[in-house]
Amino acid sequence: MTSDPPGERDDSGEVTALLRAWSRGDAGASDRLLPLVYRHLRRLAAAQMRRERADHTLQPTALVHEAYLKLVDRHLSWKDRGHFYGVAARAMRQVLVDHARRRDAGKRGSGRQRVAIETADIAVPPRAIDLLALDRSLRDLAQLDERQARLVELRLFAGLSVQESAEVLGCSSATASRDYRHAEAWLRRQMRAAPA
Amino acid sequence: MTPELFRRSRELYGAAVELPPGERAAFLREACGEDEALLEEVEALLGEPESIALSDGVDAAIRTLGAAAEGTMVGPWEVVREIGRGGMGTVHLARRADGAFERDVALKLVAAGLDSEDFLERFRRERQILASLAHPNIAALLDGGTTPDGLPYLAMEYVDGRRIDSYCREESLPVPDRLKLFLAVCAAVQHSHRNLVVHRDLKPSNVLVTKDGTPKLLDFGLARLLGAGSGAERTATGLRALTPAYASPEQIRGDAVTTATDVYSLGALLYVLLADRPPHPSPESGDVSAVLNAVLTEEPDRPSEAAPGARIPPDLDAIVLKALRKEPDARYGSVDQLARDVERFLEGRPVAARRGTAAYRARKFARRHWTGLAAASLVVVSLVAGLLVANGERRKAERRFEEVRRLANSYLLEFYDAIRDLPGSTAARELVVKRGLEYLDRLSREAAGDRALTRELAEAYQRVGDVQGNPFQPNLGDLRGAVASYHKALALLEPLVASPGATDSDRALLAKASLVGGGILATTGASDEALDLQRRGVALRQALADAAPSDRTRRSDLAQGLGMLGFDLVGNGKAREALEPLGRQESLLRGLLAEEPGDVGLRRALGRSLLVTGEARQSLGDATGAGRVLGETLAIQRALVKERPLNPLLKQDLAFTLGEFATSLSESGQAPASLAASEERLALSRELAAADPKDAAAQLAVAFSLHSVGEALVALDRPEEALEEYAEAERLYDRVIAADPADTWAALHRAWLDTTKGRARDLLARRRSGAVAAHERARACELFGKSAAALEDLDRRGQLPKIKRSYLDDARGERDTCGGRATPADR
Repeated sequence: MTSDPPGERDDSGEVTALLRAWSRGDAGASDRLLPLVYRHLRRLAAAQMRRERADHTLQPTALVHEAYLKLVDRHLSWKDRGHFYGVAARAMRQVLVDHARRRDAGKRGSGRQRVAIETADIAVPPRAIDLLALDRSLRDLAQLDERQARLVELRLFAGLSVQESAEVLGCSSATASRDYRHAEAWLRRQMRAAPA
Repeated sequence: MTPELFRRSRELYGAAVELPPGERAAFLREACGEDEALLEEVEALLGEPESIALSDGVDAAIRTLGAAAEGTMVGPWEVVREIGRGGMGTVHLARRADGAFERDVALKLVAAGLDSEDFLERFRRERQILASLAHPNIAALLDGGTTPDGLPYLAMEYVDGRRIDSYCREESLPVPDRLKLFLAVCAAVQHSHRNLVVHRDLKPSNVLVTKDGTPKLLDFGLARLLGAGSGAERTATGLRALTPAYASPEQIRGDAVTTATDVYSLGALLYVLLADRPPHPSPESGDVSAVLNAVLTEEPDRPSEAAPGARIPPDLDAIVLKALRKEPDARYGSVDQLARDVERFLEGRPVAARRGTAAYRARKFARRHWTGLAAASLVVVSLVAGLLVANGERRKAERRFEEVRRLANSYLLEFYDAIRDLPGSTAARELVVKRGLEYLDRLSREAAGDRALTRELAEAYQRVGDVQGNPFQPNLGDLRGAVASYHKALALLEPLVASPGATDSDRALLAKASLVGGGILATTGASDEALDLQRRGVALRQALADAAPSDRTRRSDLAQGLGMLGFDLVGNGKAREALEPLGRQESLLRGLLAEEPGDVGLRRALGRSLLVTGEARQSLGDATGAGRVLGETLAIQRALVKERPLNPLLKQDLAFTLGEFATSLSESGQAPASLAASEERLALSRELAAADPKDAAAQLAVAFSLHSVGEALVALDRPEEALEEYAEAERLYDRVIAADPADTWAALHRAWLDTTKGRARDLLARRRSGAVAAHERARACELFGKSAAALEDLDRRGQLPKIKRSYLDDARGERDTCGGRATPADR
């Protein structure tokens, strides 16, 4: 195991402090928390993609969990931890969107051998969705219902279950489950209706 | 959208989505009232397919992100950027990171999540194949290995080039130069053929031309070693991954792939290089099935017609078309021959392609009558195309319903009707059944609560069950599968008929499923459940007929049901009970025939009805009565076979009756007449079996016929000839049982065969003396013992129908008295 990236220890204390401040009603705490968690997740993601992990794949749930273990004091209340997951889901979403953007930018320059492998194959397993379109549609959803958009974030980018998401958001799991199903249909249509 | 509209639509969506699809529209109309915008919004959301979870889509997107990451290390290679992506994974431009030497490679990775055995196998095969090839026109394998987590990768020569077709177009290459380029591709393919590798996926995008004009063949991802790989692999991979416009007819059909397949694809490639479009271009609609169909059935335009401006000479037309022949053996015998003909053209000599044209036409004409395969292939193609649609994104819930309807009423029904009277189609049917079942199982999980969909599904299951193992028609001999399909149909229909909204057509469907399903069950030996099902089916049909006395169809359905019940009652040792339904059937049929005297179906039904009555009387000991009805049956059936000589079902009927007739004759001591009937039956059975060697029922019928010819010969004291018939019967029984161990009917007769063989040996023993006689007798005793043991075993498992109990009694009798008959010398 390699040593922790530099600066991590400091972040850890700060994240816990900010979470506590947030609980006490400090509205600015969440704004300061997001860039911190984002920076950390990005670092973890980069490490994972390079050589510390073998599968060259981002695993948002694992990353968020890893960040949690490293950044958050175990003695925090559930409510504070919920706040953390909310922020981490948002940050993870941002990490993924950044990756997708960089990937797309990198592709533009390489016209040549691209054609070598045509996607003429008739059936390709699970259809990947366009992360950038999802990001835009999630922003549209947040305009209409902030909480519903956060529910989707928690499920997709922090890997929380319906039950866990409901607890973080302070609603019943029946509501969360219904809203999530609706959001899936709504987002799917939105992504198709407003292409890049 | 206003937040108010959004909130209300979310609420209504939540309520509507819990309802069965059929009830949603009414609910929404009421709930939305005049609010059209609201109605439209909720309907649009309900129309969104739920098949793929958003989270799976995100996971898939993340996997492709991860695989594309620049800076990733794979072995000694550092990824620079992604350059391609396909069904298997991604291809990246990569660079040697340890500075050992400066070289760009194309790094091929399996996408994480796609690491199923199937994909890994394809990948390993590609690596193995590439390692065996070294040719200047094949992109070389430089390195291969496994990532630390066990996924394989390939580092290939990086080809910085253009697709061969774009290259020819953009450089405005003259025809001779295009041909030289093509010859270099042929050389690469020849090299791989010499190494026993078939590429299977030759197409313009797999041939890149470098700046210095060298073509390089890429992507052996679908390639296969000749002689390796199972048949299943062939169809599965073949269908999923092929590129329709360049695939050969045999690939589309799922037939064996040989070097002739590459000859075809090279022909298609040459076509593109000359005419600048593929031989079978995709229509505007992008309809895959249209291309597949065209490849199978349509002659391509001559390249000169496809590109009138290019002035393609007739000799080149002939070369291209010879490579593109539908029948593999009508093409060039090898890539070498194709290349030589192109060279001959370049040298201005006559080409071989134009010589064989007349013979080719004649052969084609001769084959034209062979419509069976074409019809079968077409259905497979449309079915596969249908499934592809199903796999894609489905816009509306109704689409699903439409698909079941099409599967049930179009694919399976059309397919079935197209081939039911056509011999030689069993292999094609097996493929349709497999695919059909997978699809139906998936759909029935989503059908809950939707009446129309449930009905369609039940019908589709029945059709599949019939093809699998309905013993009353040509089938695949898969009794277990047939019973399972029918149980699925019944499980769908029972609640439908029990519910308050049940209709006559629901009841008719349940009646049919009960009767046919019962009939199939009876064949497996589960007689109580079978007879109960059939009694229920008859009761349902009786009620339907009573409710509409002038309805001919309902009366004839009732007659049919009575006949099926009667048949299985007789088969299960309840002959006396069978006479009542059979009598009712006979008078119903005679009544219907009086209204419509020539009707083939009704005559056939009457023949069968009388036959079963004859069988019932026979087993009740009424030989005279049996002889009378069987005589009338034979008269009806012989007339039908004469009128419709191509219909195998009518021949089957006659063959079966002849068997019963022969038994009846032999039991009343008329051995020569019995032998004649058995031999007539054997001839008919052989005709039927030769027409479709995979039809289990037809094989079994030949075995039964041989068996009874043998018995008649023994009765006439001709044991040597009998033993020859028995030997052939034994081989056939064993083959049928090996294909379907659940076929107890075959097992039963196989067991009984040993007793009849023993009797023939015993007869031989009596004619001989001394050691020869002793030897024959010992073999007879051994056979009796084996036969009795096998029958006892069947009996213990409840697989010995009452009507065939006499087999067991006879076998035991022979076994128990055999020792006493032995000469003292044996002991």
